[in-house]
Amino acid sequence: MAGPGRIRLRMYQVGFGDCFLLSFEYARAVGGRDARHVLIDFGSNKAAKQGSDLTATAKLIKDHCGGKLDAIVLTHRHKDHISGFGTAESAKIIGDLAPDLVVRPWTEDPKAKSKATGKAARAFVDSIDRAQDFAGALAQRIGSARGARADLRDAAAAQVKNPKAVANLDSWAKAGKGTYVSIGDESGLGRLLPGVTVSVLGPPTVDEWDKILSYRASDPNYWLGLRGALSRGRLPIDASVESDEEVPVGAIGPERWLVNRMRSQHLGLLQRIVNTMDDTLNNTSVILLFEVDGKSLLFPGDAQIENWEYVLSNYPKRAAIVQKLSGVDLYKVGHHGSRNATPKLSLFGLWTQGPAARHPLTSVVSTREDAYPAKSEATKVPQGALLTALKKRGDLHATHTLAEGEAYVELECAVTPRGHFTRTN
Amino acid sequence: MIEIFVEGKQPKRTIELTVIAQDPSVTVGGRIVTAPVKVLAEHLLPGPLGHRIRVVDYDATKRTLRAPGPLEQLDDLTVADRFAKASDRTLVTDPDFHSQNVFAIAARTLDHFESALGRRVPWSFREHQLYVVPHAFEEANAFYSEEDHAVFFGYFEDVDGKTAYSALSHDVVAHETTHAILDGLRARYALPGLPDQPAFHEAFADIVALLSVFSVQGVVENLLGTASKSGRIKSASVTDEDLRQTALVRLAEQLGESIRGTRTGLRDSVNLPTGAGWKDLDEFREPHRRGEVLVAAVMRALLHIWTGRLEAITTDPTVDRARVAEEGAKAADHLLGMAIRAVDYCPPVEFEFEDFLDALLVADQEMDPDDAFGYRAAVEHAFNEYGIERPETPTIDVLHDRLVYSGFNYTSLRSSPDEVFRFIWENRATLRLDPTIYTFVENVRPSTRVGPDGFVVNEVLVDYVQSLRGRPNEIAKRLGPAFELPASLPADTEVQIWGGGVLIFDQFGRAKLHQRKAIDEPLRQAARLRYLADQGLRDREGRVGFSLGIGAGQRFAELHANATRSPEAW
Repeated sequence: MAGPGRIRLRMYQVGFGDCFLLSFEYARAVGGRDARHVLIDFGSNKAAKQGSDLTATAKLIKDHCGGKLDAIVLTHRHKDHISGFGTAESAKIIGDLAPDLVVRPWTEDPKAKSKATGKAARAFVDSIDRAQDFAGALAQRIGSARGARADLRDAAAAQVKNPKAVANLDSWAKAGKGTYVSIGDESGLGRLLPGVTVSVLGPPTVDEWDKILSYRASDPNYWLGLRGALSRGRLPIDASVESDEEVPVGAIGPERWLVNRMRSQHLGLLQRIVNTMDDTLNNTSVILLFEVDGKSLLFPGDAQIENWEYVLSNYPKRAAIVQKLSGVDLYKVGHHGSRNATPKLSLFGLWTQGPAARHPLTSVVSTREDAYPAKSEATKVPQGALLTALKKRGDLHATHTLAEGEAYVELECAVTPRGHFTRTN
Repeated sequence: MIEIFVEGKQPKRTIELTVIAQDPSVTVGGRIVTAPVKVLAEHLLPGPLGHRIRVVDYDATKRTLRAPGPLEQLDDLTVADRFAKASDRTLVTDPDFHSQNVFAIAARTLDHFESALGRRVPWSFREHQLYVVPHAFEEANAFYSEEDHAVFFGYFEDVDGKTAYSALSHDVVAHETTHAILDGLRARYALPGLPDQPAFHEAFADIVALLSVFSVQGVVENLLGTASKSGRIKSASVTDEDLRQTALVRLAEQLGESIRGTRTGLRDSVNLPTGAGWKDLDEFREPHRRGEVLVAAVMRALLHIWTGRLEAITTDPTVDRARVAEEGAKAADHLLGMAIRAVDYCPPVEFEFEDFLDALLVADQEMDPDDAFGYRAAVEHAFNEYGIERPETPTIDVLHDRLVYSGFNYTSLRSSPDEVFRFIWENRATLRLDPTIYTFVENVRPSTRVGPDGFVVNEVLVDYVQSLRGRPNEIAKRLGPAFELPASLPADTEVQIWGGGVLIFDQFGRAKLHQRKAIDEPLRQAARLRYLADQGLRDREGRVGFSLGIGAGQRFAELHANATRSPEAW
């Protein structure tokens, strides 16, 4: 069977979030259709300043795929990757595109708990649920706020479950086919995309790689305890330096000074808890490598260093994969360009050494500059140093620099005769 | 009436308080191992509140301030050791014991410093008392927060639903207290410098924690394993490698258990193979990982010293286990003193591991010129095994240089930064300091201690810094052609570079030693700026070399909560 002659990628302006339509176009129609379409994530945390809403994006996707989606990939369950599947209007439009396959990470499998072999894996799956319950309760408790408390509320809200989106994905998976994948698994994408090889490079399972757990995240009791503390009003989320309605604690004197300091410290603690949860969910991301006759595209979701570390340094079959990764033609920048999601030495390092350093690399990043309240230059998203380094390696296309009204970036690349990814809109 | 001397009534220098020797998870015969430790006698108030350490039991998660239990006063300066015979259940569940445990370990750690340095050691925040909070919040974290004048200990529920308290882990308490003490001695180590600097903060805190746990009565003996009925073990089983395996590896594993996941560094340290290979590995640019090298070198020195002390008593096929343990505890205690004294001889800025080795050797030389047990050779050998050699510009003897003393006031020179600055000004040529560069004398600290020969060693330790700020090209012009401008540093960045040193005056008021990190050192300055720019260590205004842009408290909190600040990050 002849492979695709052309690859087309559309990156939609969703503000801080991901939404990619990857299309493979065939010179000779296969099964009556001359193209196959995979939608990778559809969500937003914070809309673009002058961007279109999710419904408008869904309509564009419908136009671009000609009314039929072959597959949907949900890399992980964060709001900025899933919300488009949960909002009534946009979800209706996507549902009508009748995807044949829904691919999600193993952590989303309702049976993951019973399938997991170890105690740690079961606890992990359980703990993600509990953590999200806690985040929801936390966001709700803070309610309206300003400053640091508002930042905390937004960060917590970004972790919250989206049961509507999950139900929709479940029903589409039921109508077609649904797979839950971990590294090395057959995703089912290859069968839908003639001439395309798709490899799952992550996430590892807990049994394979327990570094995707962080201590707190792996302990459901911990989240349960926090949730309990929250419902009993024990977590002082109302405390902040700005609030002076607080009832003073302790007698006047040095202790009072310390107690007041500690109350404001506690916001920092909650922020660290939410950050840990954020890292953990990011590390459940599906990492996909698409290969078409000498061209390859890498979609790592929001996978962070701990997820990447397994395939790059510890996976038994890593040698062949590392070889393939060093020749990647298109890279979807991990986690909106954050500092932890493009391993500097073991992944980016592959693209700066030997012959790979001369191989042009096109990068695409979907991000928004002020979405993450950066405490310092070092934690800013997107990271300037990363984007600069990527630009040195080839073209970088970004949504945060799109002009007002530009709804998407479209790139195309000829497979035969071999071309490069170039922007067409 | 004649007052009769009554035994036990005279004021004591120290009192004893029971602490958990290592961690509640370490048991012998099914019981938690406890030990009495000596802390300075003082008029304690319930808390305990002492003149330097103030325990406040506020829980920010539960939002409660707990009133401490009463102290049983035996006499003016002595309180009863309430928990000497407490059950394990009481130790784990009684918050008053938790308060006593953190108080006693923090006070003992401070006492180690003050007796080794021969003076009171200040906190960095210009207050007399450090707050110690034993149940600060529900989080598996413990950290020193400079802006809160406090050390916080968290607690958490583990998988089995039991609450684990970081305040009960001896090494965690000693580690965090050491961060606070080191910050008082070398405040600039918390500011952006060479990669060795943040690594040293972690490593030094670990070194003090390990050595101080090691010197607690009974700990080493438990680690050495089963002895014969007469309490003896095989002499052949106390070689360097055996002791590393039995004592150090076991101890590191036990300590690593204490707060799951956050303290695996100790285990990695004692297992770190010798050699200089770490210098070429990127992973060793991360502060915790890098610090492990220094911890490894000091632990190796401990083994060398320990086995050296054992030589005389291992001539028979078997040896008394208690004696082997005692020698280990003594070796640890001595090495701890050496390590603490070395801090006074370390440069106030631009710290590198080699400076610590130099400071260890020079400080000990001043204190104990004879070195009858060969401690210095053991330390130097251990550091060399990890590729850490004495610096090319070591601390130099300036006693015989032509320094000008006429017109100086000896008393002022012992206490006044202005007088010392005048001394530097007048002697700038001999001391090789450029007076056109901003220069500031930060501390003038007299120190008195007793050497092994019984004689008093009097010194005055002065530290000064120099700094220059400007655009990268201006710095490059100043430092000359050997300075290679880091590519990762944009041309419009404002940068700051530092130099500085320590001047040590002897008991006659003469300058005898000069430890110096010259500001005009192009290779070091380039390495520092490259490191800071590569790691994205900038302040809020994007400047390089000024501050890290977040409060020191939050920084230590992050560093501990998230032990994987990886070199893979941007």
